[in-house]
Amino acid sequence: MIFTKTNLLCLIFFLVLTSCKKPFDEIDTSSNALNPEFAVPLLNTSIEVGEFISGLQGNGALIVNNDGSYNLSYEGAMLTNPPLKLFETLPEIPAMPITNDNMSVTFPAPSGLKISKMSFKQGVIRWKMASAIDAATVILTLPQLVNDQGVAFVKTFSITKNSLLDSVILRGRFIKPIDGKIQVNVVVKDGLGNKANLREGSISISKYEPQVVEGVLVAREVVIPKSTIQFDFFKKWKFQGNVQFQNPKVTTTFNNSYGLPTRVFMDIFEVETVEGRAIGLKSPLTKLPNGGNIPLKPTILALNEIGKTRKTVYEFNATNSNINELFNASPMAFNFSSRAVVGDSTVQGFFTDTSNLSMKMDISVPIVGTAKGFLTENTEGVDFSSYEKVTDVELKVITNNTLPFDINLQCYFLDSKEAIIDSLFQKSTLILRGAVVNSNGSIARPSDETTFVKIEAERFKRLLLAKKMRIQYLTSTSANGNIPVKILSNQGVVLRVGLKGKIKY
Amino acid sequence: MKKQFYIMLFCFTITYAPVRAQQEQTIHFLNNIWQANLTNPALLPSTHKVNVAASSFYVNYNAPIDFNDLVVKKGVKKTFTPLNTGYLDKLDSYNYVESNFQWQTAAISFPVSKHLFISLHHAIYGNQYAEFDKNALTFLFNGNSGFVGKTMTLDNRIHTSVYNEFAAGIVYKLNNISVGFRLKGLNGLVGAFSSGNKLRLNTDNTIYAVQLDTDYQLQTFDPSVSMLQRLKRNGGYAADVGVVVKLQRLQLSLSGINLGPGILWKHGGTTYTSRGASDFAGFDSYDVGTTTYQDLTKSIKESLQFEVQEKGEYRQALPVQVFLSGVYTVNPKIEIGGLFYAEQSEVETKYGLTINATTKLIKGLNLGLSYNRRNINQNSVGLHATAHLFKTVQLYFVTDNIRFITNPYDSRSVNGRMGMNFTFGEMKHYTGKLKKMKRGEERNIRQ
Repeated sequence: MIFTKTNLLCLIFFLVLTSCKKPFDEIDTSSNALNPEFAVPLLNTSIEVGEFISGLQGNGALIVNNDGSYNLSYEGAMLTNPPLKLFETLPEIPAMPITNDNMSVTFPAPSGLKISKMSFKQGVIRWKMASAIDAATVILTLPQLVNDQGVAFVKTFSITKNSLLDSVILRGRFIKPIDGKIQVNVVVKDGLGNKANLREGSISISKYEPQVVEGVLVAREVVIPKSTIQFDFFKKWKFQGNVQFQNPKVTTTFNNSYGLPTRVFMDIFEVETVEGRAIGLKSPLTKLPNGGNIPLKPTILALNEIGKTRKTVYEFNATNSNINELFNASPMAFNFSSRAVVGDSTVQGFFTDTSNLSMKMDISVPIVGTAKGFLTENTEGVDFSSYEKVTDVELKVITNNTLPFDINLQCYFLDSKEAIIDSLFQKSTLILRGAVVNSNGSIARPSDETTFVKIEAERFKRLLLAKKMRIQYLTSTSANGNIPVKILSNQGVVLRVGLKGKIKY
Repeated sequence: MKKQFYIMLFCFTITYAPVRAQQEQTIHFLNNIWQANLTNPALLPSTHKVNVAASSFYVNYNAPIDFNDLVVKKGVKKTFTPLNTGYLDKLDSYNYVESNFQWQTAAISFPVSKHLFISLHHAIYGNQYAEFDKNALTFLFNGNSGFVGKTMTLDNRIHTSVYNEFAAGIVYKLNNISVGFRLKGLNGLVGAFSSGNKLRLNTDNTIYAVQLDTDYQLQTFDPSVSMLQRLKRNGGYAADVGVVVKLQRLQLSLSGINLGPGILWKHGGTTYTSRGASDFAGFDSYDVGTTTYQDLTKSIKESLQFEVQEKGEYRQALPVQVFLSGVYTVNPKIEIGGLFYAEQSEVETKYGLTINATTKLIKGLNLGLSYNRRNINQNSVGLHATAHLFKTVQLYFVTDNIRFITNPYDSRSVNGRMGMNFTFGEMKHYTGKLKKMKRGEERNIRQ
């Protein structure tokens, strides 16, 4: 019988076996076959013009003017001259013997200074006297040493045969030498009022410091330290091309508290360009046509202005100098070296213990101008290793620009030895189209630009090795850099970036 | 970890999803094995007094793709690659996946008196059901860049659970009527249930800003305790009732399965909720030198964040099944029968119809074919075989869909149960009945 239990079980077993064909040769449970592409927003931001420019200002300050325009301001250090340096050492009157009743003594003034009146900050007059008789009375008079009431110094005292030392403090008193000399009158009398003699006598002035000196100072030179103002705007960014600012200016501000003629000679007033050139300032204010120096003359104080300070400002601008030439040469530093000459042998004046001449240089650059092919460069460290799961990448960059700049971008990716691995574009590509400007440089309408940046898998793989990224911005102001444009605080860029990226799970 | 996550998510989507019942229709007609009792607690094997079921396994799987869709051919080499995009085109716009397994560890039925029988069993059930929009897989496999300027519908519904069932039943037989009742203690082990299925991802066409519009909640339950401790958590119960009436050669059967509240999940719960709109429009600032890929993905995740609560409570009512059948014994070797099946779950109501023919081809070997119709439009031919060896050993195999046997890797529907039982004490009334029926047929032939 064919339908035995054994035969039927064998048949079922055979059917099951034949249906169980080997379904596959190998198993791959990895996600290698998947390479999904996700589209995500990357950046959605707006950059105000202040932020944009502040990235360029370096150590300068960005000043917003009332009309919304900007000034880039660099402030130099205050250069001061300590007044007491005018006198290296102050001479003293050594102990001079009193030889007669009315003697003339030279007041020890610094060389070149003819004192007509001087108040003391400190100082002492000392005398030593002994009479030839047992007891005598002395009247010591210094007619040119007066108090603030104008009363001359008179001192009456008794002496004996033994030496008497005495002194008077000069602080608060004035001395008025005549032709550099002061009178010392000594009258010695005995008890009956008769003239007597001194057995010995001497007088000295020591440790004096002037507070206010009036007189004539022979011109002397005071060195003002050399100074440099770094103009980071250009120094920070490697560049080529041309940027022209409208109406830049450099101001020199003097604060003077001398009552003496003061002249400042600008020996060095030049810019150092990024190309290493030095270009000097030419101005009828400082240079004669034949090249000789013309001093700047800070305002001096009148006698009734003792203790005050007068400010004098010199402005070097396009109308009185070649300042535009200096700025348009892409300066990266302004160097100043000057010397002051104080005093004049023909002019009566004054100075005090706090008299000072300070000088400050400021650079002010209105952000109005043109740029053409202005290339800036910045290198930053990068680490793309976290993007190893990403393969192909496409960036979509959308800009809405109310700034009057076209910006072309190029990025170079560098390895650890700064060798170029690859670049973002084959050539520098416009990513930010400048707002349209009218003939006077004002914004007529903003510009929109959409740029796609595609990086294929093989290229992206190379970029993962990058350690640095050198970004170059090629900037031109709108209208092909021919119309000076003004940057206003309400301008900016809306920057939106989307990313399409294929990833490996 | 991410790779594992995505693979898990994939598997979750492809092979997991609903708490539907384990729709098993043909087995209802295998009245000589204990497992038919699962469809009606009054239905016990009529051939032996004591039936001991060793481990048996049931697998059911319905998906929009077949196994070969997961195999990538390169030349002559075939690689099983579950994560490939090749089958996306074969998916409908909205897809359903269900998979069920049942591991019946042990079962026994035995008489305690002439009329009363006891039935005990334990099984582990795994029910998974998922509905998902095709875009959900497209998003994972291809990303969203093909949907720039459009909204991706990522709607999905997930219902998955693994639970223990400890059951004790009684069958009372009086004359030709058997009444059965079974109480089932349930114990949830792992579960995940979604409510609200709205997940819409819009990608704008400017810089691809993404916006998620949702009405979605997913509750997961996974007590972080040992398996023994899990037995004390996430409990519940259900009951089965059934009646069998024998009228000469006709046997009528009616049963209701999974009646009762089901499982109350409340231990080890985590609830993920997202309702309303959230978006990510890009960074305010992005430093190309320092912003990492992780920063980007983290920001997107945080922007499209789901609210997460370390708690959850979910009442999982098991799908109620109704089996209404009639079996007619044509002769000692042939039975034919019909079954009407209905199922009411939290998700939907389903119906089924089965027509079965069983032949006792030779002594100890039953074979049968069935025609099954499910859910109005799913037709399949089933097969079952039972072999009785060495008097006490019973091997069986049953499927509602024979196609997966003949061409398993091209079948989108897999259904089958196989196992081994031990039987003891052949029932006298059964052998007597057969002899009586045989004599009657011989008389008819002589006449």
